[in-house]
Amino acid sequence: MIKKIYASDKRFKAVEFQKGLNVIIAERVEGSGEKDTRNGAGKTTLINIIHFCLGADVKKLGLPYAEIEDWDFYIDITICGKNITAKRSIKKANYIIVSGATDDLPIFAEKDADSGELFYKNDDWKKLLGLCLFNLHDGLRSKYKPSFRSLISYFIRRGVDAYSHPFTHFRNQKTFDFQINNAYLLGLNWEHASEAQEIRDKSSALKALSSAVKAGIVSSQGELEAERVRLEKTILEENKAIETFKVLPQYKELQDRANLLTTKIHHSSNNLLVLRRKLTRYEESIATETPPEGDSVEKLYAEAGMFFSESIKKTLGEAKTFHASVIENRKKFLQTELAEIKNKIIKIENDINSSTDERAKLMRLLQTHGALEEFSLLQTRVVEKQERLETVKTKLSELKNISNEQKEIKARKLELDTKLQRDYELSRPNWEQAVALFNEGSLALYDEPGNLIINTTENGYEFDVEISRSNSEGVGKMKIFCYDMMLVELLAEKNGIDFLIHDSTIYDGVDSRQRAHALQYACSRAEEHDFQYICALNSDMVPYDDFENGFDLCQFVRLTLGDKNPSDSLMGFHFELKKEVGRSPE
Amino acid sequence: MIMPSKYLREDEALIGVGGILLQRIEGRKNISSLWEDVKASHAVATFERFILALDFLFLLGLIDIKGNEIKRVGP
Repeated sequence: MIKKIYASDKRFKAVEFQKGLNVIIAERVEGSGEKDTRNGAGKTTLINIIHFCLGADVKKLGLPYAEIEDWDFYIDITICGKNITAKRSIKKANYIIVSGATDDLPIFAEKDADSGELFYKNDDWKKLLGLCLFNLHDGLRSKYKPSFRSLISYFIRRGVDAYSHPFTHFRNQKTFDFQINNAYLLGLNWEHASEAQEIRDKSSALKALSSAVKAGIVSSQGELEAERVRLEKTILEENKAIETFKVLPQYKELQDRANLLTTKIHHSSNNLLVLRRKLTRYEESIATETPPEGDSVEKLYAEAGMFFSESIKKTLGEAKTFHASVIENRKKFLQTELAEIKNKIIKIENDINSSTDERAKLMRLLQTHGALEEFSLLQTRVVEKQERLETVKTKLSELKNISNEQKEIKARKLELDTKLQRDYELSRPNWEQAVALFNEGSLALYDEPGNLIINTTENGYEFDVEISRSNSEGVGKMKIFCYDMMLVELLAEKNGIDFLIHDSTIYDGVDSRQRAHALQYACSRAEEHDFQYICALNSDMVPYDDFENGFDLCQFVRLTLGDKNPSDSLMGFHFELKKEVGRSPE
Repeated sequence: MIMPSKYLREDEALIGVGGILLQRIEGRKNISSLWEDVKASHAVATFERFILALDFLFLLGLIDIKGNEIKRVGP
């Protein structure tokens, strides 16, 4: 229970709360200009300051920091059955100094060595409040879990967006956030909502991956398989080549030798050709050179005798001898030449044959063997391809995992659905009580039973509220009213949070009869169930005419604020409320 | 055969052929190479005539043979 809110600065309007209904009135003064919105009175600021005292991030509250930097704010509050006072300064917002019955609190306060004051760091303060108000234990292992700041925001809704839907307290609140926190408040198993979020996370990561595959950023399974097959085939072939590869250290020398042999063979072939021609010619000579007949020498001798009888110096016998030796010599010459040429030809032919054989051997060797450089090049290539193959295989198994993961997600969703339904049945007493309380609230306001609908789906919980005639803005607001009333009743009964604070926003656009019903309902229920209902109202909103006889709102008014004079406002001075954009949870 | 006649031109007569051969026999000359030198000549024509021309030159004591070589004799 919140007993008192006050500040170190005397200008601040301290406010004390009691059990049951508590009302803050913002007076609308006749003649205040159109521009003077009643926000200037400080209703919303009061709510922000309560949040500040309960551990909210100071920067997100839109307070006039420059003007109040020296201020300390105090809250007198009962938590875990102990009355304590907590002080939080704007300057040293991370330290909450506590006094009062702090000894038996479940989390011990630290002691300041200098001043001897007891204090909590803000994180510990939030843990303590979570434990006392929501029985929220620290150290939950789930990635997504209920948090004190999110839970308290259902009991002190802050800002216009908080009043647009029962299950969210700020705009764009994430599905998991409201599923988990509402499930926790309604006594359902919030861990299922947490798991549902983990499944969604995984599923969206997989979707991103598979769309990357589709967009061609990542190779598809088919492409990778094709590459794998191709690589495996080439690696096999090249490995075989390496296995049968015979390294020839003197490869280069042998290559040179083979070239030399080729040149030699060419040269010899040319010589052979020349010799063969010569041979033919000599053979022809033998065939065509017919020596003169034996008696032709005698004829010559006789004829010479006729013309040159005095000049003849030789006898016929000498002439015959000469004739014979000339012919003989010529014959001998030709025969030797022929023999010589034939010998040469045979030698050259032998040479050519042996050279050709040697060259053939060399060529075979060169063909079947390779140089060392070639061998290492081959090996490097195989190693590179093997590395690539490994990469492809890894990618493939990753891709295969995707489909496995997708199956797993489906399975987990089904499993979750089953678990949700089972737990839904098990926690039936909890939510039936909630449904019943919500029903009562709507009956009191509209004479129509409203429904709190809790569904389980594979995505976690689905919440909805229904009140017939729920088409106007007012009914929407009253759904929130009924839901919040139900929550505070549920938790107050379990010795949890025992206060509910509504800004005037909740009554904007609500029919005056419903406003009256709501205030009276809150009043009676708060007294009956031992909790506080604190609400802020503008003076022109109070439905005096619609209250039942005997209900006097004035006795519940704890503070009246005005906006005409700065001194009438909460802080004692006027400031401009900053419009908060895109609030986020703390 | 030696001298030109009504039917034999001067260069075709042995005396002409002998003239041609004598010009080629400078110092000593191998019979085969001498034959190679002159066999293309139209006047010499056949090996038979070549031999006869050499015989004629020998008769006149202009050349002599030693082993395989022919040499000029006399002045």
